[in-house]
Amino acid sequence: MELITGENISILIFFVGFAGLMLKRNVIKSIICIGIMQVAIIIFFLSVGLSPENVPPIDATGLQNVADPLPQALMITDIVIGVGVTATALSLFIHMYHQFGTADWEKAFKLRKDSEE
Amino acid sequence: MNDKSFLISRFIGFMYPIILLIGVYIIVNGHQSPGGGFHGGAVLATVFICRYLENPNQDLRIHYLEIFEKILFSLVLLLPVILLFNNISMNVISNKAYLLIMNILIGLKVCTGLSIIFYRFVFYEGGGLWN
Amino acid sequence: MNKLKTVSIIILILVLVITVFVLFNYSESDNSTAEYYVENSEKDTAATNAVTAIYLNYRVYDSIFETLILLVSVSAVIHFSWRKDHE
Repeated sequence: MELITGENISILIFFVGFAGLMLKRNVIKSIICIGIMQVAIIIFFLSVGLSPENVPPIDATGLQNVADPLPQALMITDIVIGVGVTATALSLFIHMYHQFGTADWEKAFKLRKDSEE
Repeated sequence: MNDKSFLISRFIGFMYPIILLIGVYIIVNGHQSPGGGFHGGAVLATVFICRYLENPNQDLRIHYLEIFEKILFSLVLLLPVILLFNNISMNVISNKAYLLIMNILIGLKVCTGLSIIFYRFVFYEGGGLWN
Repeated sequence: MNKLKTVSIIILILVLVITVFVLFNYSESDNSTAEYYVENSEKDTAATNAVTAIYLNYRVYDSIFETLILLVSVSAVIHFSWRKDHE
């Protein structure tokens, strides 16, 4: 049984991004880790049920071993969603940096709690 | 932020029409070969980025790009509702024309959306603000 | 902070093991939609590319709402990009 397939690599990349999201304190690193998790999910959906002797689904009526066209069509929209989420998150980060003076979410949390009392 | 590098601006000025041609080719041949509206739109957005890299001044009127994007969104919404969701019988030629027009509209929409994001970041947040 | 980090690493390894176990023992493969799309996309739509026939004819709702997502995120970036000194 093969050890380096697309599914295994994508699960590994997803959990690397997940660990970075939980263990790092900078906000920019969290935004980058969300992007890493997104890429891992796209690779996982594309490589389920794919084998090395597959033919692309262009002009392929009546052939055998054609690749699955449905996950490819759904993952096209996922990439554009990733761009939108990253752009909105970065523009919100700029305002947070101007207000609190730090890019660290724990210190910003403490400053906000102190200024509310 | 307003000084340009001579080497980059000359080389990108040379690559400008080649990237434009590749983007239009990927969009227009979407129904026959791998490609389509979304991929070609992302390649066309780099043309706008190249324009800023070559000459970094601020003389692009973003207001008309925003109006153009909203008109494109209403067209992308209108065309399948009229043609596909009624029971109009379509032959081969009208099907191919529908695919071509939808690919071009989606490509232009993705291009203008991504370049508006880039230009709003550069014009309003860059340079001389952190002091 | 060290206690919190060790607890979170343990939870991470546990979730990883459970995911790999569930994914590789409880999944079955069934290819009937893919065969239908590949066989009949030339006849229903006049497209030789099966992926284009899917995202422009069989599932055009996804493409419409995806352009709506782009419009909303561009509006969010336009709304949140202001400067305090001259506007």
